[in-house]
Amino acid sequence: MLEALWDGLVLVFSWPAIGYMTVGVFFGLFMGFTPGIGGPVTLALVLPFSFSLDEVSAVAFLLGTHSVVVTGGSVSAILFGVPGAGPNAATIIDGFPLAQKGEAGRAIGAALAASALGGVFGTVVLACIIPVLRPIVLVFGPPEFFMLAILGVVFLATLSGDEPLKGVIAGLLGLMISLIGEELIVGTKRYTFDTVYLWDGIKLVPSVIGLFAVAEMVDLLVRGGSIAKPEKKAVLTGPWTGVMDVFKHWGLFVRSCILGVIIGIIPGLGGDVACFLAYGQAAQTVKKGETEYGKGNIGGVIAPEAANNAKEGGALVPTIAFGIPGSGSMAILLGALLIVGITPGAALLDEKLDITFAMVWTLAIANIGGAAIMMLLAKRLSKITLLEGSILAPIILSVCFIGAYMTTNSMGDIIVAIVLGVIGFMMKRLNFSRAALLLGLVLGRIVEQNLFLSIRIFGAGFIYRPIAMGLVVIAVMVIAWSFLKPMLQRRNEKAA
Amino acid sequence: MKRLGMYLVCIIMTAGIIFGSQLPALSQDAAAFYKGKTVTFIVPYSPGGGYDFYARFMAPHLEKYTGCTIVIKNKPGGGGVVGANVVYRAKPDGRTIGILNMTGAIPAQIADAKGIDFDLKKFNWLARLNDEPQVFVVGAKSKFNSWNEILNAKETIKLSSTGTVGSTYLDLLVLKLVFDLKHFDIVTGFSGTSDADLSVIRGELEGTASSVSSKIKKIEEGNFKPLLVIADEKVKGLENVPIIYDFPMSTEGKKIADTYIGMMNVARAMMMTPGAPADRVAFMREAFKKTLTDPDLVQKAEKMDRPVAWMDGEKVLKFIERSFTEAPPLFVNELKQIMK
Repeated sequence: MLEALWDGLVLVFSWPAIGYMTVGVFFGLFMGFTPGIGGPVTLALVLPFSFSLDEVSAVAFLLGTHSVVVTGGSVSAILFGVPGAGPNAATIIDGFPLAQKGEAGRAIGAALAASALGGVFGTVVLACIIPVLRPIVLVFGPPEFFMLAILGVVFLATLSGDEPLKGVIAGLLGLMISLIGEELIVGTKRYTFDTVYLWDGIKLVPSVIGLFAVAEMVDLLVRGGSIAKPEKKAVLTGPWTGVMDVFKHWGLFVRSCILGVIIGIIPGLGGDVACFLAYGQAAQTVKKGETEYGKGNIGGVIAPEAANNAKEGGALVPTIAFGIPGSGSMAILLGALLIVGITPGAALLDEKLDITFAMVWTLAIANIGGAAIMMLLAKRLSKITLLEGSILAPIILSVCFIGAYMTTNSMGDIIVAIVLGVIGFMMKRLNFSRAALLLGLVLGRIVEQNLFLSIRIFGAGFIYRPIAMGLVVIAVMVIAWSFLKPMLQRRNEKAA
Repeated sequence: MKRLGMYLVCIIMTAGIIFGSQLPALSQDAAAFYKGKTVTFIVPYSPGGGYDFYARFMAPHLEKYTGCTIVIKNKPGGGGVVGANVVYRAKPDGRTIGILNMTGAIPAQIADAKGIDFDLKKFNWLARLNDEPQVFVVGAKSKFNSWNEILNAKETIKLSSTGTVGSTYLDLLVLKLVFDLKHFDIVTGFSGTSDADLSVIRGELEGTASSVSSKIKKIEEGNFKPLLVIADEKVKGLENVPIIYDFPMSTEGKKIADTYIGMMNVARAMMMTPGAPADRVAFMREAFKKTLTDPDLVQKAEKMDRPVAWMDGEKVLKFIERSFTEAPPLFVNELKQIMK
């Protein structure tokens, strides 16, 4: 085992593997920074180049590219409110308000540190559980997915700070939007108005671009000035403050990583859920006197970024163990592994263990390297937020619409971005939580699908399965706590 | 004023990128026509899926044999309907080609489903990429060991399936109709075949069905027991597994089996816009033939469990026409139920 661990490291640092990994990291960062181009598209583009490489180079090249896409994406999410890649959507909720406060540098630093360390965390967990993979993956079925998603819905109310009802309303709106499209159980087409585009439902990326980027840019134009409105002169905090923030919020960081790893390991829940659940639990645990979530709390950047990169370590698990990909990108990676002669399954955990560890090392090294490169650029990039809105907004709006269009190459994507842009602008003005709407949108389908499957497979008693029951208990505790906390605080204030 | 100019430039640039138009083409000798031109290859599914993979995998070879540049464009939506519509309505100059999942498209057209603007019988079919024999499997720990035991089972057998428009559901539905299996209970709603497979591996449901290429590894690893191959001949790697015709079925049942297997014979195929000049169709057919019979490509594809089995475009059309004339009313009605 230890020998394989060392062999794997030697393999990664051997030439030309390390060179391919470097190329991959730069390309992945660039594609991630470019709005709308997510991990799967980036991997699909580089895939043909890997066919002629040897096993280790191909692994280093593809995993290197893949693991930093989201790292690059977090920077455009924070600076412009445009998600570079799908999973960055949750980062915008607090990242962009931080940029508006003139703390873009700090937010980028925190996002980079959280994603790099989260990636390493996920990798370490992956390495530790390699021997007991199979039983862990098989413990989770539709009832457990259902309850995990319900746990996310429970967080809805808490996303709106002092006005829980507004959070619930926004969340329900999100759930309603998620109903649009063809449902999977009997294939009924709901609210599609005979438009083929709507059959597949409302996609996440154009929605986020509309809700945040378009709404914010319109707001910026109406308001005038620049994105950042630093309270003192034009002082921008440096990225290192953000890095330190991750260590100050260590508990939150670790919790988010664990959540990410779990969701990565179990295939079938989808990567976007990890970030939103992590965000939800962060908002749930906001302390008294802290900045409200959604208004620029650094925890809202740390949680989703940590969860996302930790998840990728986890997502390798089902890919390696069963040949069942844990995420869209992993599906592409699987194809590439097969062509260079690596067959997922038992062999990778046995005679080819060194290759498996080479993958683990690549994930860790690429995560740290990618973050380091972006750190060097962060200070300069964050100055963009001081640009006059009338110059910046038209450029960003153009990029937004192209990014939205990239989702399915259809005009429908642009219409979705515009419609949700209008909704987002109104929600911002009326102080409704856009995060709650997104959470509803992401979780709606998962809740419905897994509820139906659970009942069809296990009957109404599905809820008594041990893990599902445990999740029910947690959900009840979360709800109870959100009522108890204000009461306790009031009593404490009286006592004091 | 300056600001207005800035907006205008941005709007024009955005529009330019999005509507990127194609230049009109002149009629010339096909080889000379394609030389140095771009050909748009429409993939009606998202990047990263099987169809996207095949398109990107074939593209360099196609470029070599045609002298044109292949631009792959993903047009996902409506289970392939959006992309197929795009190819159908494109300018018939032979510069738009596409790939399609026929086990999805043929039933959709038979059932006269909403949203379809194309007529499969009118496309210029270029080639078949592969056929897609299907296999019915049960979990490794299942008490069923043969298809006969399934046929004679007294209790309800719960099976896992993707949504009702997926090929997994069609496989199970066809088996249910062909052998009149009233005790088949198909649980629909899994997001994809991998999720449906996992449910069986976890032991929640008894079995499932889908393409041999997607199951073979899991069978070899001992996760599944293969009980029945849905094809008209034995399949490589599953020589010991009986095929659907080894078991007695009604006349009506046989018609359904014939229709479905006919569709699977042309499971994945490439087409060009109807009305394109005949010499360009012939030229592209030749290019696909060279590509898909290239030993290097075939070998690489096999290594990845992405089989390739070329068939000429004209023969593809024959199979498509046959499935429209052969489909028995019982099957058509069932399809209409699904595609409503």
